Amino acid sequence: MSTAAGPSRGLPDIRALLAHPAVVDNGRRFGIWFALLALMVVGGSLSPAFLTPTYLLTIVAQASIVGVAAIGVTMVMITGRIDVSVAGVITLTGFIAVGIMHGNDKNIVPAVAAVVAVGLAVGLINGYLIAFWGVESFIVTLAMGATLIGVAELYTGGFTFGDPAPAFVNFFAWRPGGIPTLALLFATVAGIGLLLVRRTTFGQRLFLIGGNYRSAYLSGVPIRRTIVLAYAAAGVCAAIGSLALIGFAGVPSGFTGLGLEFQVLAAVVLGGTTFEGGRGGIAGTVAGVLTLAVASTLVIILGFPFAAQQVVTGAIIVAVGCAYAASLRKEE
Amino acid sequence: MHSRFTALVVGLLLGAVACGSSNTGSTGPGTTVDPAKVYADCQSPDTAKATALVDTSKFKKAPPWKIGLAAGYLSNDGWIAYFIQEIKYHASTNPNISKVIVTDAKFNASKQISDIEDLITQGVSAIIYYPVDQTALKTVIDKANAAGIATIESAVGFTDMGTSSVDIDYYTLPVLSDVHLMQSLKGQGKIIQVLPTAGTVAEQREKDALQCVLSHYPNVQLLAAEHGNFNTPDAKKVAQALLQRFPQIDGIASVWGEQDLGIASAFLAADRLKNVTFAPANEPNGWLKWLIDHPDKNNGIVTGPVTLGGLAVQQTVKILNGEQISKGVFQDSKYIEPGQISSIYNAGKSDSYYFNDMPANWQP
Amino acid sequence: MSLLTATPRGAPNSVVRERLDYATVVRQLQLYGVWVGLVVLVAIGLTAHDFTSAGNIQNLLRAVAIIGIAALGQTFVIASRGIDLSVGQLMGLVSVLAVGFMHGDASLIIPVVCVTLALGVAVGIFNGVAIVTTGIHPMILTFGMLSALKGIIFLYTDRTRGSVPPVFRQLDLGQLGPLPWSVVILGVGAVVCWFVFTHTTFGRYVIAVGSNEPNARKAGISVGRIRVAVYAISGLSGAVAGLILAARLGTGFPLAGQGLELSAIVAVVLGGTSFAGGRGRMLGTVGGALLLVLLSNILNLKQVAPYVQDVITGMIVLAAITLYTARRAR
Repeated sequence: MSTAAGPSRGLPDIRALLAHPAVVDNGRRFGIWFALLALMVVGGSLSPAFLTPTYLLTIVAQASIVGVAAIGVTMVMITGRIDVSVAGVITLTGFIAVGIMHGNDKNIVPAVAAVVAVGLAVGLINGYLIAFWGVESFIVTLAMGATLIGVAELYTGGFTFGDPAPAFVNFFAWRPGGIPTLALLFATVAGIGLLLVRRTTFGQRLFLIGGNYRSAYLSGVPIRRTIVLAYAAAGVCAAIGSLALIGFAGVPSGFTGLGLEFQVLAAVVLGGTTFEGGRGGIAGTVAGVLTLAVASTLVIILGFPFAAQQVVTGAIIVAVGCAYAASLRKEE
Repeated sequence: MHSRFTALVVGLLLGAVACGSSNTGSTGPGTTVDPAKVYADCQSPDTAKATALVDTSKFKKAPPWKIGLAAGYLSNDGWIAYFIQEIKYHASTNPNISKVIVTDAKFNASKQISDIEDLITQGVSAIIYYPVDQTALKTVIDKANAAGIATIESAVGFTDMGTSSVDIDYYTLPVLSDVHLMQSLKGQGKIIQVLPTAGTVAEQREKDALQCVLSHYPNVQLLAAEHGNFNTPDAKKVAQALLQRFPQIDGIASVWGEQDLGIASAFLAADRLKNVTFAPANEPNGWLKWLIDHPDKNNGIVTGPVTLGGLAVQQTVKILNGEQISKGVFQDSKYIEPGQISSIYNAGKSDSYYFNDMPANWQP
Repeated sequence: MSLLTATPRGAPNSVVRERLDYATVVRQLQLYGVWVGLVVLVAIGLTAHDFTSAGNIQNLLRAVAIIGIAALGQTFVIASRGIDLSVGQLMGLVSVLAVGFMHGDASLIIPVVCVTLALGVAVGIFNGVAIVTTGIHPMILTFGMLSALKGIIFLYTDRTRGSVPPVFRQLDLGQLGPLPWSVVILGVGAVVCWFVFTHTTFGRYVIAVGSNEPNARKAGISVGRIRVAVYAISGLSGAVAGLILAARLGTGFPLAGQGLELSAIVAVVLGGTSFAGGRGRMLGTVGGALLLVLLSNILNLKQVAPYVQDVITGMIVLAAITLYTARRAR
């Protein structure tokens, strides 16, 4: 190979190319897609079955729980705020869902309605405290999450009452045209999120609040209302994520949603939405969610032991996060 | 029901189980291993210690008794919830027990030390505990014993510290399950192991148990061991990935029914259910239902009964009465034949129900 | 108490004399609320049987040391407008390594302590350097680190192993006068941190970086170095807390550190340190840790059912934090 000779002439050009604003910008916007692609190439070369549509769609279905919840959290994070109460919402609404369904198809509609209502209510409370009282979002949603888990424990006494309705389970086990319904659900929620963020005034306001609070304020953007709506969306998305979890497992989800909030955060940040707000979007989040899902599947397929899985997951988060941050810094 | 709970020496139990299964499993011509030999070789390391007699005179107390229950965690799985309920129920049936005080360490080993200190401060008569980590509690357990408070470990695994241990044998249970799997596979094939949460005693014992059993079945290959964390969705994810990784999986070594529900659903979706054999797992209602619905997959179950809670209360009462006891008591983990599992299935209850001995008004 | 009232540097605009109005009351509560909370809790505790017994006080103090020490380092980080989520798993790693290396041999205590403290500082420096050089948000970096450290723990051991020499256990069990050694370390650490935070240039720089980084940069402060330093301090305090955890458990339990970072962060915020950076209350942090431990102790002694305890604790933290971080919306 001519690698020894190549760099002397090729490298400066590559450097210039890499520093070009268009490359930096596109790299940031599409970098996560490249990462996803790279992981899939690695996966495909190691296990031929990896790149079959059936299996890829299975991964999408797996990712739908974190994915649906991440759509709402993305909206919150574009405003420069955060929501870590997601796991609490998923846990509480999971118990409510199976408690109302009680294994009976007639109860699906009221169960779904109740779950969405609870998610909405939690989101509204979070949003109200944060937008109107100026409470710090990380810590208040952390405490909210802990409280909701306590409420879930109190509501159930540690037991799970009821089962998911058979039609509900069958619906999520269904693969119309080979596509799992969970993947369709994820696509639908992501599509709605994309429309909201990219095509509506609400979406523009999110970016304005996160990107330039002062000018948002001066230009008369209803800041508080927008923030409350973003949290409401996050609450509803988490509640739908809870339904997806039950659909995925086919049994009451119990306390298995615990810890999901940080997976959601990692996915959103990998997708290019920053903690500082004003950047990112739904498409990036979708890629971030899929990247984490593919990565976590890949480490099992590669046969890494539990310990190595943890290290690799951490390393991927750090590496992609650092790459993003560095590309942003270069721009400044 | 209660009469079944009399203290059982593990050796006897193992012998009984071994005879039972050697009759049922060794039908195939390919089987060359005698299960009894495996059971004899893969013995729980705690058997001998458990038979030691303990003088409980210094823990004898006049009623009424206040029992402390220091939980390592409450919110994990349905099993724990029923186990706690069993303790409360059996305590309520004893007129000498005035109260059960429950604390929850939420899987924080350091908090459990504080919780037990708090129970000592309140002057409880005895403490039943299931540890986040056995060894970490040694000092505070010694302190309780020195203060004349009996300590009864339960549910996590035999320990020689404290006054007594009342357990499911987390080594014997998987041995029993694994041997049935090996026999069903006729000593040949490729298996995966799905383990509970990393770092727990149950996880460690399951790994050790399978290793010992596998040493007798050289033609069975362990492809991978992954963590299903006692629950359905995690087990399903792991199974989906393993299905992708290995084109051939003949057997599943998982002793927790909640995990098996997820594994089964992944194998079903991948259309590979027909080729796989499940090791007998424990008895959550949902798994029993699944086995009844899929008779060709029904390989029986091994029980890890929640009635252990009642046994723990019984041992506590003996100690408070100053009776002589043996150091360890093991709940009978039994193999239940495929045809018999309907006897513990309850069609009217949810998937997360566990067969138990509580009256209707104590059922959650 | 003079220590508390003599720390005006932490509070911006404190020279401006404010009227005693709603805002002032809220502000005062934000600064000293943790002490009010402690007084209320103690008053409730006094109604519980045996709350004031020597044994119970000892338990309380022992329980507070681990969270308290980890929270001291976290206070520097949060005051500089950062966060360190990796500290819980760092404590777990340090405790598992310390126990594993010592393996009951008292002659190894000093080298093991030195190595593990160095490890803590190294992890902190890595966190700080990564954050400074790439500009990655600290929450995501330290979350990645959390996952990686957990993996390293399990690479080392997947099960409880090792034992500590009896003399090392004295860190938790032994006493200096009425105080357990771990509490003495917490006390010394708190005073040192308080002094560094309020009476040194470094402390002022931390506040400056936390309240307005561009201005701090313009004023010639080496922001990067300050950031690396605060994470290094957090790593060091995490390592000290990890050693005490090892002494308390007497064994290396791989899951021992799980979730402790969140307790530490809650303690810091309850203590009055602003999550938005620029305000730190070092002694308030100790008060915050004490508040969490006291709450759990009193709920146990009052025999409140565990599930109810969780809701009460969650609500109290929620209310306290709402009160603390609420500012009158513009």
